[in-house]
Amino acid sequence: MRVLGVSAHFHTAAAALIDNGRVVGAAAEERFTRVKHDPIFPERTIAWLLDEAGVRGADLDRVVFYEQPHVKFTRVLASTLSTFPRHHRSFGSAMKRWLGDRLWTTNKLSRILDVHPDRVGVVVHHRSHASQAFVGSGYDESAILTLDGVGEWDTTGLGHGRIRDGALELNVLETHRYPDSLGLFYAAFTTFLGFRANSEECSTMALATFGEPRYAPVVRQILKVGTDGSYRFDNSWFDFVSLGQAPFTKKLISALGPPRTPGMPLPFESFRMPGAEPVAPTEDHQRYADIAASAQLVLEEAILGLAKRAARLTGCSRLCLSGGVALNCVATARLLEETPFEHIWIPPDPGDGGAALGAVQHVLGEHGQLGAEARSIGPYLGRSYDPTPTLDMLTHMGPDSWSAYRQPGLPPPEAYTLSVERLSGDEAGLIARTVDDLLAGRIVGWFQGGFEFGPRALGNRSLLAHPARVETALKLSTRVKARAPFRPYAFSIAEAHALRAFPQWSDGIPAMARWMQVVVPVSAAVHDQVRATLHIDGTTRPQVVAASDNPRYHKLLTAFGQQTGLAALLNTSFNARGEPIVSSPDEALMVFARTDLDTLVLGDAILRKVYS
Amino acid sequence: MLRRIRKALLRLSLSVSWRSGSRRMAPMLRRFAMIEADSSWQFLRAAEVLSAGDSRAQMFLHAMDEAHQASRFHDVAKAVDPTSLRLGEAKRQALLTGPAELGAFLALAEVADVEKKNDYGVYARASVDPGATALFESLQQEEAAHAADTRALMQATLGSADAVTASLAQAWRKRLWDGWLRLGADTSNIIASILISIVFFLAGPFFARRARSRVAPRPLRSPHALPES
Ligand SMILES: [Fe+2]
Repeated sequence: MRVLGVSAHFHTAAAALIDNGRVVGAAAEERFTRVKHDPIFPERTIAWLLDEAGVRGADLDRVVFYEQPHVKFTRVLASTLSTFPRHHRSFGSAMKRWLGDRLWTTNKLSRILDVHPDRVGVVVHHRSHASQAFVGSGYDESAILTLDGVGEWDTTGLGHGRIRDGALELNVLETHRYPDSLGLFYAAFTTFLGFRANSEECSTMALATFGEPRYAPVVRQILKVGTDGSYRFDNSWFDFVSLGQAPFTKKLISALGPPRTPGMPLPFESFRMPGAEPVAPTEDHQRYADIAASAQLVLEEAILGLAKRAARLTGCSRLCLSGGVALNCVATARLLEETPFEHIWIPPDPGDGGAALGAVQHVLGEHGQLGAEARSIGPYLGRSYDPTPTLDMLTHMGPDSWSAYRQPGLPPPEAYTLSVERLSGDEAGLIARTVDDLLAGRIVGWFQGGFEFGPRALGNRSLLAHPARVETALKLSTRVKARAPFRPYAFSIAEAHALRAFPQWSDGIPAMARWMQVVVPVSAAVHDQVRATLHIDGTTRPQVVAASDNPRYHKLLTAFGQQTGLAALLNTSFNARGEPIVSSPDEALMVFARTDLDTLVLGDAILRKVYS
Repeated sequence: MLRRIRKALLRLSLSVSWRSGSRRMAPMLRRFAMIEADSSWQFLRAAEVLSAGDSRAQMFLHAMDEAHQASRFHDVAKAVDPTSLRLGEAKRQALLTGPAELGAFLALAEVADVEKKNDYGVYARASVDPGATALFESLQQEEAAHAADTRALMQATLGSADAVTASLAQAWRKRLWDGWLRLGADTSNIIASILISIVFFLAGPFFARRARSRVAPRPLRSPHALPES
């Protein structure tokens, strides 16, 4: 059975294809359009997937959209009409979008793909999320929590899943409906704190570490958590229809003070050069951090309540999570510690992008066709590229031809010449050279294989650096990326060394640690060796890499560990300012050329800036 | 003639909308950043479909130049209004899908360069921020150089002068036609907005109460787990 799944029109559009048990691929459209979180209909991803499978649209047995557009439309209608007569503009733009396009998504799929309309269907949004959470885990039975912004009407789902002979039995036991949404709650606070909703929630989470939750009593009036693990969101504090602009009511501002102006600098730093004096935050800065801490705390309370309720209702010892809120890796850490669940799994892309794959898994589950591949989903599902044409270009251009296009605002560059080494068939040489560069404090762009599905760079599109060298991390923050100093980096570590950094995991390394999904304290014994990757409270969001997860990356980590004693590397996503993670070798080369990235490893080749 | 009318209208509208301060320029600067980023994307896609190292390199460098221009617009936008956020929506439509279309693609690129050169001149004169004025002036020069480079590339690709002229004429026709379609879309958009507003105000009162009840906050099923102060 050949099934294509599609998600679009809200947040990060994506598509996924499973062809007779083989996962052909899955990718977010933003990687092709280069528009961050692009919600547009994922034409390019679909074209790539069909090409990769060597089939035409008409050869597809089923095409599924990840939610029911007509049901979602009723919610959009209700929420814009509920504030009548305000928001007639929001109503107008919503109606144009929906009546002109979104309502007819399945027809569009049928037309574009040349598939008979009978073969095009929809899966209920939270069932797509539930399948995405559970099926790829490999568990036979599990409790399932979907923690979302909003789909059609449902925002949070609590369920139970079982797989028998390739057939999926999915029971949704309870749901919360719009506007009771944890995702919208956190997005609203993210906007209040001057970050972009549905995009920069990680900034809210990082900022929370610098604050005290002294506004928790107010926030608990906004998000009320019951003793039974249910919750209610009081949307009278926010104006959701204008979320993304200024959704705050007078009531909110009188309780919390004025919102932060976007772009206003925050003085907090997750790490600084030894001996450097911290900048003291002003009262206002501290207030923002305290509000972030309060929102974070109350979100955690709600999630813990739900998880405990799920444990009670299902009696399961395993939990699968999805929905955008599952990316809050400080909250997920508490699930490990404070709930009865022994095993917790989150798919590599728990958000709406990943729901495209969830919709496919749901259809296969209905037909009893869930095979081994669909049930063990890893992150490396994106397109891979041959870097040869990019390397061949380098005989026609070099630093002289691109020096004028340096990212504006960076300090003047050091003069350099370019060295290109092609090391096909010499993986040991490739790794040894890369390790030498990392030891020398150089920043390395590491580009291998297919790109990751989901928001994290996990060793195929990563920027790497020595984890102990704070000056390298600062250079990375200011001269390669434009990373706010209050947002910490993280590290990847080879499985064999993981217990040295995380002795608390002597009973087993949690699945969430494989793909940077959990924030945990790092043993003080290794702090100096990973200084540049720690948050202010001594935690990190690790990627524990097994040889089977990503063989070449594992070899690199291990070789680095042989030199330093700890097989860990600072790992952050390979992207330019404000852009999605790079997909193609050309895009990687452009970042290399326009910033102070020192070394670029493109498959089997190493490009190095040789400074004079 | 058409171009002169367009220029005059643009000048008039800018002198009204930008007079109230440089902050008002930020959205426009962001929009230019988006247009330049889109050009960069186009040239990267063009590089992808070409296999010959030299022409691929030319496309790549052009893409990098456009990305550079986009960054400069972003930076100036941030300088005139630090609170302005990046605009979200950009719809990508690749103009080049195979090596055979390279000539036509370059013709479209040249036409766009010429138009940007003209527009940036108008914006430079209307600008009320010295940083933005300097940027528009320098980009006006750069776009002229781009247009010349693109023309040379086109000549190398298409061979004959006649083919170049024909491709350019076709590109201008496409540009006009796209403009016409845009005008049509904008007009129908306005009409749709008016119709929807009428429906909203006529029918809204009958549905508002029901809508409110569907999205109203609901009470908790159980007492609060946590103390409220
Ligand atoms: Fe969702």
